[in-house]
Amino acid sequence: MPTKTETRPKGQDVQHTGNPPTDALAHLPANQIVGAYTNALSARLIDSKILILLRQGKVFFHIGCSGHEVAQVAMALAMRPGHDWAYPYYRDLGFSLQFGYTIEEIMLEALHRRGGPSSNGFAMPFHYGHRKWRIVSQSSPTGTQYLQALGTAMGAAKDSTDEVVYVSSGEGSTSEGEFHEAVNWAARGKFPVIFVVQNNRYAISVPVRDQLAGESVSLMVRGYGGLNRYHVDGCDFPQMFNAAADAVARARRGDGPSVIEADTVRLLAHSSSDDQRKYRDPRDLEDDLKRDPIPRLERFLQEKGILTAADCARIRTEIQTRIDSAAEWAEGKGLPDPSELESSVYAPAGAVPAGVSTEAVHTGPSVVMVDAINHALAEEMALNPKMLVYGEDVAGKKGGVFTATRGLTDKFGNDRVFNSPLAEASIVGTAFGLAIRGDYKPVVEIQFGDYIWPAFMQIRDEVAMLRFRSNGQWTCPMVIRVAVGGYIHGGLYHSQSIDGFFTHIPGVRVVFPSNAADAKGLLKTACRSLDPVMFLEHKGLYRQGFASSAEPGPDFTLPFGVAAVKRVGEDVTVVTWGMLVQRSLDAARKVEAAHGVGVEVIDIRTLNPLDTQSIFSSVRKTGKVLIVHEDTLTGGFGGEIAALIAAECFESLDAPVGRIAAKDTPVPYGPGLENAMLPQETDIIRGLEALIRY
Amino acid sequence: MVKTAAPEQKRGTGGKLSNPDRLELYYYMRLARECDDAILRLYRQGKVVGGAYTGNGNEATAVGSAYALEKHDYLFPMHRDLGAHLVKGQTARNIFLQQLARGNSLTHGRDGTGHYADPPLRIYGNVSHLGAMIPMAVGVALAVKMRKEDSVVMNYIGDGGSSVGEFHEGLNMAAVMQLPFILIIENNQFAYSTPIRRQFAAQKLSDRASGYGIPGVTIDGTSVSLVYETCRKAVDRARRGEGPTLIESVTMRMHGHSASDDASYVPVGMIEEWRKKDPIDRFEKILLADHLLTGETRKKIEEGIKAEVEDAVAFATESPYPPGEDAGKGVYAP
Repeated sequence: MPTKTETRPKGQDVQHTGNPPTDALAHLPANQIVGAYTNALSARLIDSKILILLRQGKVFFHIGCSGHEVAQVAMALAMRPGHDWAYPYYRDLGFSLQFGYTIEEIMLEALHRRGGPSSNGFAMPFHYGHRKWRIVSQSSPTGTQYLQALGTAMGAAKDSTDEVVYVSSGEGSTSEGEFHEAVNWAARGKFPVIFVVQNNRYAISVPVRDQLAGESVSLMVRGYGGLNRYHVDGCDFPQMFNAAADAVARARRGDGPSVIEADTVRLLAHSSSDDQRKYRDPRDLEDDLKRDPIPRLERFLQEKGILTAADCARIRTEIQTRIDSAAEWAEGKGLPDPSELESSVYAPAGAVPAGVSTEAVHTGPSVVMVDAINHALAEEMALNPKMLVYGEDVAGKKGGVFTATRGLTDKFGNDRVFNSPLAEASIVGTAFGLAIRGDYKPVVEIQFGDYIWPAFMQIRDEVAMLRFRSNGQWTCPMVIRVAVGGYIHGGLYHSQSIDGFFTHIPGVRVVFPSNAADAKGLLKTACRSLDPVMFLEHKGLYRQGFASSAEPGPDFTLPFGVAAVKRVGEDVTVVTWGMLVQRSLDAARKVEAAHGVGVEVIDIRTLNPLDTQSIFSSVRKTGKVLIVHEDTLTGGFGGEIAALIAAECFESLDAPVGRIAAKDTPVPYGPGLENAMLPQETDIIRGLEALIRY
Repeated sequence: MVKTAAPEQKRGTGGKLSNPDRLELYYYMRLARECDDAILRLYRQGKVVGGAYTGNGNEATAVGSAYALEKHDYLFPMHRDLGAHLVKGQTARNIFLQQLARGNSLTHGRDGTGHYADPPLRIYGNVSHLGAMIPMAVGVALAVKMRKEDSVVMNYIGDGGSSVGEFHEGLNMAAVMQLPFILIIENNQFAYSTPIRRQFAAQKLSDRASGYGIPGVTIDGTSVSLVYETCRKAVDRARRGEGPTLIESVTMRMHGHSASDDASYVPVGMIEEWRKKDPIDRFEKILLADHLLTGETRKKIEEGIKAEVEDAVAFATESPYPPGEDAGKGVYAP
């Protein structure tokens, strides 16, 4: 194929079709090429072996790499395993073997045995992850890996290393919005990430003409500026290797990101659950077979005099023997223990780093909640040079739309406090990629809870699951600060409560302070936590007089899972959090004055973990309980608390558990409507009076 | 001159603006600015319930683009496009009812600002998270194509909105399916406080179009006739079934993001520099030079607009808030 190089004006974006200008393969020792061939052939033969094991009922799932393996080993051959980072997608068996996985490790995972490097049998097979080789744990929703790889590349650039980050996918997931977000930000920041799109022309059954307007990914990513774009025949080992070597060299010397589109063939169906004869023409399947990259690589090796046909046959026999014995060996290994399930979701108890003091040192002058948050961030950034603060509008003179990050860029520089593009999935996805490096602590801001939903995929499927799915091999501790809540005339899109959603997710802590001192202490704990934390800040409390406190000193931290009894009473308990703590206290005072009963008010402060003991002991004392929260009633976290109380305190209850929450509608804009929809002091009084009368 | 009903007559016959068309463009731009100014006044008086967002500096883009649409075309505007609402037939009264969250507003006070739909006028959308509108608007374009209508769909986002994934998903799908869809990026230099150099690396956002195999163009968004002509070409093309167009209209956001933003992050002198290109002043000079506008007719237009806005503000102010017991209604089909 001839070489064509098209240079854009100002030389910002370079497109290579066919062979790149340098022939790096010419300088490669023959034994390395043979090694790559061995890995490609191993991948092919493992595919066949797994399909046999599947029919024997020993393996439950297979997703193949046949037709892609040569492009994959060529790519990995151009990188430095263990130094560079990899986000291989589920078809990347060839890549993973070339990058360091052994055949035995693949078999352990295929047979969901204990001790596999990626997951200990928790995750599906072919979802690669290998700490030693810096292969980052992968999930099934392909498309999420792009932003994570970008985050890891941002860390590599910040640390001034020459590390390169590989991320791969099929052509189908380039239609996902996150692909665009990642390419845009990678180009904007010139980060060392290489997007390798293995275009086999089918996304399960959807042909490429229904997927991409130009049927070419490398052409689609014109228009970003500063990208190196390659379109190569992924069945041609030299062409693929030379493109890979060129892209890696560029990334290493700081010349920015690349997109390599490698045309491959999919010789097997999408997965073991798919039959591609249903949607592919027999002639199309035959054409793919003619392009099979393995015989082509063997011809290349023989033409170059590197191997003979007899050598190739011998290698094939040796691999087959090793695969068969690896499968037998793995079958003999133990299965994971179900008792390990629940202990794998969070960091082990007591794993919070030392230096935590729970003693309140409320010595400073009075501070409003948003300033307490600002000070907590500044103190923690001073303590931890790897802590980063970013999000939309957080940097510079703006310092956040609520000024929570004001002055931090001046103090710590734009390298540590910076604006993201306007894209929430990008914020959380890159935070994942930074955090998995092990030292960076991203403390990111989502401007409004109402806008967190593009990041929901990253939080739910990636951030919350990483520790579990990788059996603790990989973790991504981060803090996601979110301004939430109503009572501010913000309408449908500046008022949402999101606690009900996030308390449903195992793997993320959920914190919701009601005042400045708690906010400071809890945020400082969050910044040191080994788990991901959703830190919910009620924007209506930011500057409220009643939420301000004497400022605790820099050593003050509050542990998660410890509720605060805000008011002691003997007759009825209120369990609440966030904005409704103050309203509940006001209601309690009025009810006490009017009816002469004692109302105990508990601020739970953290929803996950939940301090159930404080709730239970209060309910056992009073016998009556009202749960008060701002989120909508149905599916709100109050339902969970009510169920726990019903299960644990049934004998002590003198009345049904009461709940006061928002009506089951969006938060409306008009003031009369908003007041009627969100819980008010009068609603709490009504609820308390009903319980007293009962 | 006061127009408050949806346009019946075809504007810009043969793609060219007639003199009455040009006067109408002028009228709509001035009306949009007058409404925006009144909204800010009401905000300072504490009468606007939530935030206030203006389109000051964006009038040529909003008015010129919507002027290229017919009555049966669909509009998915963003929050700086008051002029587009007006051109599409929205009344000033309805605009102010929304701003003041009254019970007889288009959303019955459930939402404010330009967050409303008016199906008879084929005005849809405007949610706060602008990128989310793109796939919805593309969906409408798909329905138009399937029903073999000759309508087109015009959708607007800002420079910041181009960074969200849905921008890519929507444009790719519109291009794959060759849908009658026009996306206008109002590049006003800032996404809230984030300058465009921290948003993307591309020279021009319209460069993105070539990757999808669709036309893309970057234009001076302060020239109302240029905006009209560009959009008209895109609309005609979409109507002929030739697929989507991406237009980057370069303007300046002359106020803060909202009335509560002092825009202290905007470099000194930038606003002043752009004020020289004020879209209304620019067009007014041309109309005066062409003798389409005289001191006298200008005054008459001004007075008409002032009266129209005063009437709308008074009407909205006197309208009642929705009653609290209406909270809870409208979530599901009756």
